[in-house]
Amino acid sequence: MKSNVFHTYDYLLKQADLLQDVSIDIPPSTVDRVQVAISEDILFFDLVCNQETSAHMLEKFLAGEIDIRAGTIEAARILVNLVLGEPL
Amino acid sequence: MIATRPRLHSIIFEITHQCNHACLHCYNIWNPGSVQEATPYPIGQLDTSTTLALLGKALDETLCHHVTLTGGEPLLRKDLPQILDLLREREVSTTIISNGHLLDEPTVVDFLDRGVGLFELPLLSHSRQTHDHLSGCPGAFDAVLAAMAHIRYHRGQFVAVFVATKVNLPDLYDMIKLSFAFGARGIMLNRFNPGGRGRQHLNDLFPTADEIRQALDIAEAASVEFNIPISCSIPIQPCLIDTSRYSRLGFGFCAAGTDRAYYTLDPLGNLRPCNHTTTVLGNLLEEPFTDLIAPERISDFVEAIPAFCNPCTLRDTCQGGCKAAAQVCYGSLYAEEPFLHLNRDQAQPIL
Repeated sequence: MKSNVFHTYDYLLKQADLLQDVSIDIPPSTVDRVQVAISEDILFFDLVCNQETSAHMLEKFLAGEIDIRAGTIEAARILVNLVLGEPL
Repeated sequence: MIATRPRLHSIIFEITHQCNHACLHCYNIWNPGSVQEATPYPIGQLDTSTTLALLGKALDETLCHHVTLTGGEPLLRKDLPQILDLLREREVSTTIISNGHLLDEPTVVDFLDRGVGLFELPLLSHSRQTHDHLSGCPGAFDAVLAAMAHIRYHRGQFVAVFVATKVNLPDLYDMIKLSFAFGARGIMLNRFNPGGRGRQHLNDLFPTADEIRQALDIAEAASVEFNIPISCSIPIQPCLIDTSRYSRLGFGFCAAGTDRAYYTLDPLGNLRPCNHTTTVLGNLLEEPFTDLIAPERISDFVEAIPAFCNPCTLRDTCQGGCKAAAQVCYGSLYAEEPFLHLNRDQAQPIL
């Protein structure tokens, strides 16, 4: 799992929100790329900010043991949809 | 020996004159449009080993830990990976200024692996038509957005560059919004600074001081709304616009001759005080860096300030704006540069 420490949680939520606004005339494959990156970062924050999982997840993250692309993309998409109030 | 090495924040290396875009606002001094066309700027390129030796010499002879690679379009240079490897080996942080057209996903991944810390990419509008028109290249808009998406996806860093012209100024807010949504780390809001090909389009593209003032108002508000840093690196004269009103925006003045100077190496090893000027200080392959930037070489450039600015209390800070633009548009470093000259009626001397 990769993350981008430069983007805060609120910043990411706003990016996800605005991406819907600005994406009308942009190739969907390009928008999807950005959306997946935002989703992963949001999920990362969600994991590390959860008191029950943060220490464990951070340890695994730092050890390079988390592979978000293999199995959790869909979860991240659902998370973003929840954030945006979109149907699951 | 080490004590004589000048400390520099950055060196700009123009690794090629070639470009796959034909931007209407292009300031590259070797493109047609400069008043010095009678003595064309030397065009050419060193082979890979000589280029690496040139770059190594620049790093050996200075205390500089950051290099910006530009052009032309730097990705047209096939040995760019070798140049990046040298910079990484020397523990020099690297920025690439590119139009993004050739930054496909494998290239982005490769460059990030080779240590590129920042990409500077143009985003001239939220509109495909306007961006492609100003870039002189169909497909430029889709390509640069794809490049930004690849960089975002692979957790690289990029800033979006908006060159403010009369044509695209109405699009500034939407451009900032789009850049933010794509994950830009910041915005560079550069007013159109004519040189090279850009000089041919002066009348069509050059914004008035009023238009730039309105753009700064929009940028200030957008910086707050999106919490995104915005910097204006092309000088804006305080006698034309009160820049102190804009607490969120960063403003720069000409740094030639200081440790923050943008010394610029061209593909043949010629060194200039900045990337906008035609003034060549000498060739780094032939002389030491310290000799090239010695006061007797660079003082003519550093000390040039238009007579209009003499009474101004900010004379030494502002220096009249971009003297290189004065040089390439009007033939003299002491001329009033276009933004001052064309808005002279609004200039309020600061006494």
